[in-house]
Amino acid sequence: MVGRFEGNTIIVDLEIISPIASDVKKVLSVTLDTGASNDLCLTYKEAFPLALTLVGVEDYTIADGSHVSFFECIGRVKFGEKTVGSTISIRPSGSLLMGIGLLEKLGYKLHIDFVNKTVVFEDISQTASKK
Amino acid sequence: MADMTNKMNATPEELVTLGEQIYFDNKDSLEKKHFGEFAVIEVESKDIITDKDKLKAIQQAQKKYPNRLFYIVQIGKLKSQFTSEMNEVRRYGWTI
Repeated sequence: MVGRFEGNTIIVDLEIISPIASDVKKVLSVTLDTGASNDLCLTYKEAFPLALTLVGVEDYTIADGSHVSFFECIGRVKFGEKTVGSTISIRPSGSLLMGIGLLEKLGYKLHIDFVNKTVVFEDISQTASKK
Repeated sequence: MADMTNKMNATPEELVTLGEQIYFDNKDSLEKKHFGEFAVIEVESKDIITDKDKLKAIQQAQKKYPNRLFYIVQIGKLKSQFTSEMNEVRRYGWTI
């Protein structure tokens, strides 16, 4: 699996799947945010048509040290050949963000070459099984 | 402040306030036993479900309390309880 640079931002294409209807899904280009510990953050505009399940509200500590409460949903995410259950924070507007929590769930190791602008996700589980 | 007697009909802001109160009532014990894990709090029963995996904690809570909304927080991340004097630093994602 590969991502791509857009300027200095790393973009990946994820397929988001409704937890209640597997035919309700959409591929979204999201920004990889290695400073975010959560799984995924979407806007209402993207989240509502995907019939994600609202489960509550979550308090987050953000980069400036302040606390923000977001609506929290659950859904499924497909990246490469893997599909995993994911928590998804939603907000009225802003960037679509993929946090390191999702990378951990997917079992991918991230290789970033800032000079040649390449991003590769290595499936660690496949690497381990080949050894 | 709005009446929070019927917690099942609590607004998102009330859910945060109630959840935070329950978290801080149990903060020492939670941080001692479950630091870094996720707490999913059902505010009516004040039940706290913890797990290292946030999704698993939510699924356990949904199984125990179907059709409820929960307050979720990573244990150890909230340093101080918000008070009326600190309202300027409290923000809700749905109003940003």
